[in-house]
Amino acid sequence: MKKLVSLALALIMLVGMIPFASAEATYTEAPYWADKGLPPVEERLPVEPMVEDAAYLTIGTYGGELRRSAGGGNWDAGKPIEEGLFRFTTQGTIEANVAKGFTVNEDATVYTIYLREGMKWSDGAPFTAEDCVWFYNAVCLNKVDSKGVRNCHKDANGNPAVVEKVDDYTFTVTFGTPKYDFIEALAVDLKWHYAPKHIFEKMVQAVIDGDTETALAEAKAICGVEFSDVGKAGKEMLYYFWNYPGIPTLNPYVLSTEAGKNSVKGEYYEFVRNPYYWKVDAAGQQLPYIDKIVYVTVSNVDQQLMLLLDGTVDYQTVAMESIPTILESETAINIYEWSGSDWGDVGTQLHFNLGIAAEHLNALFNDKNFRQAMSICVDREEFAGLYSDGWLAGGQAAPQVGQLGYSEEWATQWTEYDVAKAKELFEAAGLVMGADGFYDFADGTDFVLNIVSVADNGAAETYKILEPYFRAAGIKCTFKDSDRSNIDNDLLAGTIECMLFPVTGIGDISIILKPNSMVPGYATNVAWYGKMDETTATGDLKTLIDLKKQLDVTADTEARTAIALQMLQLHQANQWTIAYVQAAPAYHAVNARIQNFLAEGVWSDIYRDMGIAHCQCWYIAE
Amino acid sequence: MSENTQPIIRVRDLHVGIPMDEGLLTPVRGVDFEIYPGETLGLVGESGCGKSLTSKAILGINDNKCFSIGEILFRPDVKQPAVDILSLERVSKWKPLMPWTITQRLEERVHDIARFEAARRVGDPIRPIPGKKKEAIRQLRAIRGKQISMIFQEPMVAFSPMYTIGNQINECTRLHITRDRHESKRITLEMMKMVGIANAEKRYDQYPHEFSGGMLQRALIAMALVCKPRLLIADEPTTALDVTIQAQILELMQSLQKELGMAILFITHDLGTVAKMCDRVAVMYLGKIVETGPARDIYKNPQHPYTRGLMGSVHKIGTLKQDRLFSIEGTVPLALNLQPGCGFYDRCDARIEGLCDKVTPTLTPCDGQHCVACHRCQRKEEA
Amino acid sequence: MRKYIGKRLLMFIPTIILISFVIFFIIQLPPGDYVDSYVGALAAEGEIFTEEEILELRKQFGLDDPWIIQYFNWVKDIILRGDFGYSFEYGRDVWSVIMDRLYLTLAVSFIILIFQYGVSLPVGIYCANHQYSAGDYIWSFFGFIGTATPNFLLAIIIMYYIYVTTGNVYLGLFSTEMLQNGMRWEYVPEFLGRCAIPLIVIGTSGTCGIIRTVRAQMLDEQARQYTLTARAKGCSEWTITYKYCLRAALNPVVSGLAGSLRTIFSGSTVSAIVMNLAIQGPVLLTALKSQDMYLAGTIVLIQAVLVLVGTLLSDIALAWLDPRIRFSERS
Repeated sequence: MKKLVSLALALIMLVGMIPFASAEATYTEAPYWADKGLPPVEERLPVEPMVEDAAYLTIGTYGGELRRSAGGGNWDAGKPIEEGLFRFTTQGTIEANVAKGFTVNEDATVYTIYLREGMKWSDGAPFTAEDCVWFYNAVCLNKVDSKGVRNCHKDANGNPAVVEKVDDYTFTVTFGTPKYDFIEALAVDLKWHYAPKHIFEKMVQAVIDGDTETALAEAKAICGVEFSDVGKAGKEMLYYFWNYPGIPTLNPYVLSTEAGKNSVKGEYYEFVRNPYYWKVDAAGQQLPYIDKIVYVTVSNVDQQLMLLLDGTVDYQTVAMESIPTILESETAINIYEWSGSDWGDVGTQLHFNLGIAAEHLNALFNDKNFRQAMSICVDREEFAGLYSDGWLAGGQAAPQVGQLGYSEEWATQWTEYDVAKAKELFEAAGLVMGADGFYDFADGTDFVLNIVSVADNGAAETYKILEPYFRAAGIKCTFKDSDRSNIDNDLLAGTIECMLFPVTGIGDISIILKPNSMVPGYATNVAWYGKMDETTATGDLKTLIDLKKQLDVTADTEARTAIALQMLQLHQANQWTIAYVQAAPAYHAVNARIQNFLAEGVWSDIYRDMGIAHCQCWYIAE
Repeated sequence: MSENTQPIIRVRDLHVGIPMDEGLLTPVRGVDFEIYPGETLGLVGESGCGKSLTSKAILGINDNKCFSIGEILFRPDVKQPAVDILSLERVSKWKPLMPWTITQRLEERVHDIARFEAARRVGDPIRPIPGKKKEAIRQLRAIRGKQISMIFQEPMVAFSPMYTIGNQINECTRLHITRDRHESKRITLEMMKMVGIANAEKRYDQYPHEFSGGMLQRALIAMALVCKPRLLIADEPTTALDVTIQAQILELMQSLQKELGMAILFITHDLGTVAKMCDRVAVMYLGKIVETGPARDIYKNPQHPYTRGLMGSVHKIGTLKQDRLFSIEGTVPLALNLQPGCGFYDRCDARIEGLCDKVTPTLTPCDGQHCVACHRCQRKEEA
Repeated sequence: MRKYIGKRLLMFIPTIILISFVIFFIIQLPPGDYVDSYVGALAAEGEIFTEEEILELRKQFGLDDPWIIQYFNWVKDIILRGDFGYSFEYGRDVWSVIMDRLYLTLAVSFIILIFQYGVSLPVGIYCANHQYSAGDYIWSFFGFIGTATPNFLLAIIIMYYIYVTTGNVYLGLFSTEMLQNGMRWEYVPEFLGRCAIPLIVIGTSGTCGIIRTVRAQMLDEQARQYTLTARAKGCSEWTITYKYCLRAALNPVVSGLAGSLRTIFSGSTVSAIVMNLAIQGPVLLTALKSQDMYLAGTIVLIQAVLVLVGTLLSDIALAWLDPRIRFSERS
């Protein structure tokens, strides 16, 4: 009897389950695909497509084109559509993206990454773990993409990790020593960790074998471009892969293959929606909503604003000064304000090259008194008013509100206006007032502060406002601006003495994730540390570098945060660079017809600049 | 030559003026002469006495700056009425009266227009002047090159260096005689042979800079005569040539004149050529004709002090080396803002004070056809 | 005549070799090379480059050889294979980069050239025939204004005015629709409208010089004796002006054409940048700024060759036009 009852119950439950089991999720696709002869959308999506359902998103409608203007630059087109294995949220945490998730063993030496079943490349070929594993083993280890093994794959001793496939949708990454921040580092360094093996296998094999001819022929067969050598071919096609037609990606938009629209160096190019895109919205509509992103090339970046104003272009980052003009225009444009990640407004950051070869200058710049004096000899209130027409207030090179290490104290450090004290500090730093009213070195040599910047970026005007303050405090300055390439040259050579409005400003959202601008030796074009690295750094700078190394081998999140704070405190204590105005927000001008734009975001390279606005969720509604 | 035949061209009271900032320049101040068919009239005078302007006025090809007053009656065919070339020219140059041209026109009127005498009719029937500019231009162009043609002093610059000689001569034929290419070329070659250009076919396709001076002058003559005009104006045709070539050209002109039966207005300052070429002579000084008559009379018996001075200044064969060459005192004054009175007054050695500087002498006959404009000569006559 | 041309062509070779050497030398003169600007541009976008990577890049691009060797390699490739080198910026061979923009450049330049001469010649003749008339002054006035105003300023003023009145910025020769869908008949009116701005801006700058030259020459010629002869022959004024005077007056104009061949190839650079025209000029500017050596070197070399060819052609044209020159050459 009991057996019968339980069997009947089981049967009822089973029968009851059927409607649920058969209630599959229904997906819809864009009308764009209506007669293109593709398999039905359910077959194109993976078994469990990722759902973009952040709180601020609304369900959108299909159709339309997003029009942008290109001033040049690969990443401008690439960052917004990039799809890495994992991505950042606006809070700075990691979330799954291409990968479904990951697990890590106890001592953080083995990471297991899970992919989505049924996911496909934009040309319909299946995307499996093989693509990820092959990419690492064939491409990275053999440096075919010229970047080789990234830092995220290196353990504490610098040895590369071992990547192995477990099954079609799982692979492992094994380190020799514990690697605690692999996933974050992956999201910052390598991002994608895959390449279409079915397309590149032959070419990469030829490169490894040293068969240049086959490799180049293959390259040409894939994307139609004749490269001069395998190094260039490998880098362009495996690193800047979105720039070339014929290379399948997982991105929401793929470069068009139509002649006349398929070259990013041409006048006009299009990125067309990916039929096999693996994300849907909360209502089951396959993303993206907008059919194409089209780019019109302009020869001069000033023209981008013009095109925005007359409605030819839908989206553009804009400078503060342009906002009144934009608001006045007849075209309906919304302005969104994101917070930046710089320490102080980059346009007013003054970087002293602490690694400069000249002894006098080296000693002077490294003297904290000198830097403090340079900071307090400027009346920030007056300066900020002149500099930003009242938009911004005075500030210092310090983390912004909400960033790790922020403190009111630091944000207002050395921001008072005290010329007398500045002069005292100059003398404490060893300078002597000369007969001409300017400070000289103790041994009598003239001290001139040579400030440089890139031409046409506004630094010349900023200098004009700053110079009277310096002069009043007894510092003789000169200013020279030159072409971008000359500045890059000098940065690489480390010969710049002092830079205003540096090419790479100090500060980013996380000193742990992206220390380039904050820790010496991690980038080649940061003006305040020049060519200094761990071998040449001394004192607190050396401590800073050591702390970073320590951070790399620390497991515990709390411990890591503590070390990061220590590093930031070193920055606070030394204030190696100064800024005069608080960090400006990043402004986006978006044509009113674009919906679902992220209203409150953070502008940072880690968040892929505009990428965090998730353009696949944008739609057009007039 | 005989008084019974009508003159082919009659110039009545021709004045040519050029308004300038300094005043009114009047190079030609009342010129009267006639040319009869088949005869050669020589127009003699120093440089700057107005000969070229007179001859260019006959064709109406003076500069736009010059304005002409008077009558030039051209009557190649006795059965047809005469044509007033000056009026044709005036109509063809008509410009609408714009506000800024009024001052210029008024200037023309204000500057001593009262001094110019009114044109006098002689009684010849004159063709009505066309009112339309286009018609006037058409009539003028039909005369130029066809009925009256001109040869110039410097043949080297008279041709355009861009085109072949044949092309330029041919142009004349094609404008006036026939449009057929082959026919016109044949006529041109014929003419070229007639003027004595050797190897005419080859020369036809050559450019002016490949010709010598004498050859060019022959070519110029060919171009002028190819349409067999009734009147040929020769403006110092031999001045720029060597003496031997000179003689050849002059002979050529004489023979052609006989053949074609045309009249020649021969302008020159060389008295020797005049003696050879001309039937009648008119002597010009400072824009007026001071003496005119048959060549023989003028040479044998020059009346006007100026003419006598000219004759005296010519080097005659037989004079000794140490004899000084006679020359008239002074130079030709500028024809600017002239006062009434004889133009030769300042240089004349036979002047009458009080008369010659107050009253302008007129041309009066003193011996048959021989006319003179001089108070002294008139007094002598009376006496 | 043939011997003359032959001799001139023979002189080309040493001239071009010398020019190519000088060009290459000057282009590589500024410190640094393409890799520096390349790395700099990408580093600003957040990419990180290590020292070895930069060295790798240098080797890849062949920029680690001393420049003399780079020069010889370049020349060798040109002579032996007709290969003008590799453009680092565009990632493909130089010739394809030039060919990309060549047709549009030629089209735009020809239109402008025809506009320039088509306007200036008649205007110059008119001004000469009606010297000191109202028309003379008015045309000269416009000509002077066109020449005195910098091109880019005029372009900006016109674009600003159009924006203020119509709300559209007509930037570039092609609208987005035209670029997407290719040229169609319905786009032709808009295309012509967009052409008008560069035409006015660039065309007016050159016309004044030609107008004044033609006017002066014509006045000169009209005073000559052969004009008088022609008039005495009974030629119409039209014949005198166009057959006789104009032919002689064209002498300096034809000489001026020598330089225009080069301009046809590269177009006007500053105006092209301001008006976003996709012609050769901006390509050269970017190539020079980023030290994309082979591209810059090839474009300048082609311009030099065109100047030489243009000079030769204009000399031949002059000889054809003016028989006196022919004669003096022969003698």
